[in-house]
Amino acid sequence: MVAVHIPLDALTPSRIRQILIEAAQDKRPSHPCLWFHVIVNMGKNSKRLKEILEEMLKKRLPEEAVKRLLEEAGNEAIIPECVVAEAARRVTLGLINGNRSNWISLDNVKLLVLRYAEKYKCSHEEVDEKAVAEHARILAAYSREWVRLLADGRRAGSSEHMTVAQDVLYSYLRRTRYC
Amino acid sequence: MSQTELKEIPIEVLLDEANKLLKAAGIANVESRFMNRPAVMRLCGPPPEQRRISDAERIRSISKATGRYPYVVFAFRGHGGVVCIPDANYYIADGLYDVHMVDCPDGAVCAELAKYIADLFRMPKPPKEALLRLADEQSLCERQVLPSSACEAAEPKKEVKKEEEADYALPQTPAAPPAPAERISASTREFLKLLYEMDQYDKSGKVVPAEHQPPSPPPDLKNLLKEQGFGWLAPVVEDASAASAVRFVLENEDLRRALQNSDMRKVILEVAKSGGVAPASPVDEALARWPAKHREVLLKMLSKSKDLNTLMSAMLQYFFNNEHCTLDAMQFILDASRRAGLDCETAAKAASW
Repeated sequence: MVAVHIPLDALTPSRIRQILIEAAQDKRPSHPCLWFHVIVNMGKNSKRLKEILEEMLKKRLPEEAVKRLLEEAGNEAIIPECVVAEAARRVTLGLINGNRSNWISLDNVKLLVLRYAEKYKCSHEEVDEKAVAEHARILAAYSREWVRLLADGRRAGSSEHMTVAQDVLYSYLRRTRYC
Repeated sequence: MSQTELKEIPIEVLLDEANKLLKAAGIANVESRFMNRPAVMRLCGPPPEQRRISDAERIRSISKATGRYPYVVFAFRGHGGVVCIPDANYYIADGLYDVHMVDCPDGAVCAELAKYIADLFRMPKPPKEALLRLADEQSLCERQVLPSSACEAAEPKKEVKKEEEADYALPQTPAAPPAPAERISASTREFLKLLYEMDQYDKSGKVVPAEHQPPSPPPDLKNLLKEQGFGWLAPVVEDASAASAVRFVLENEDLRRALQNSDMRKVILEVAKSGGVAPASPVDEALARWPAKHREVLLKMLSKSKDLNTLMSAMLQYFFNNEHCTLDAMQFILDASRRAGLDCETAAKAASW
């Protein structure tokens, strides 16, 4: 096999995976919009992301190197599950105020994610909003879990209405890590 | 999403706010009438997107709770048709709908208002196809009603592709524009850009140093100097300390580039002459005349600003002492002032009276 020099700035699937995991573990500084984009590009969209990366790599590297890189990445998802959970956590944390004890509804995850994107002025267009709507169901599993754990039907929130007190949720999410 | 989800704000207050917005835009003639569902559907047309119908059940229960206002609809009548907020996806319950008919002499103003009212009621913004009924794409883009990505896509000729973004574009044949499915969405583009930037930084936030790169055999320094166009330095590198200094410059790409730039070379020479202390820039000199308190405020604002616009909105927040002075709010104030004919010239005259 001919040794092919792979430039450091070539984003490969495994490199992205590594960057995302490190960002989720706070080992690497990350822009707030990264987590919104994780949500848009997760699931089925990650396959598309892989294709885009392949095209990008083909422009810069010999075919042999691209092939090797893709083989190296294998069937592993570009965006690991723990990063998706971390994105759900960080987006929610970005929207709530830990000093307030009023309840907030986690019922409409799509709206929450889009509000986060508006807040941090993350680039998106209609097709991305559709992707968020599709992925909201997956993210809702996390918010349901938080409500189930935290809501007590009295001060901390009501699981029936998918509501939870902001301060309670904030303190729980601050302590939780998924990666 | 729905109107009654806003439990803290009564619908009457929201309506008042909406009317204030209309008034500020110079639209005083708003006709209000009650309609039943078929009439609203005739007025506003079929649902733009079928998928939102899934919210119907939830909204049905809400419509009972609102009492006097079963459902509030703003209908903007333009030259090309009517745009309703909320759109027809939400007309599910039989009963009375409180419809506010707004006649639009200027479609672009109405489109902007539609966007603000949708925001106010926390409803999804009207889709682009609907807004095009009120005004053409160019005026919608000028008023920033459409997202910038949509405007850029509409004007491919004006689009200036930055060098760094070019890397993220798929290979395209110049003759045929890319099919929509082949286009990278705004989010994916920014995602890749962020990842690329993160990749360039190590964990502590510093640029990855040269030793992280794959080791390459040390090239002959004299040949290297000739290749880089510094052949005249060849006699100097016989001395070991000079050679190491020259090698340092050659291996440091930023420094090499800086030395090739005549302006930067001057700065570097000045810094060297002053013993490593950088000369004061014009900005520093100007700021030195400011009161210390204002300097601190400005630095705080600058550290949070992305560009001149965000800096301006931060300044408005400071002067109005109001955190609601966002970029959109600032744009709206500027537009409203322009529409009302209030510019600096008029204000200066008024101030001098």
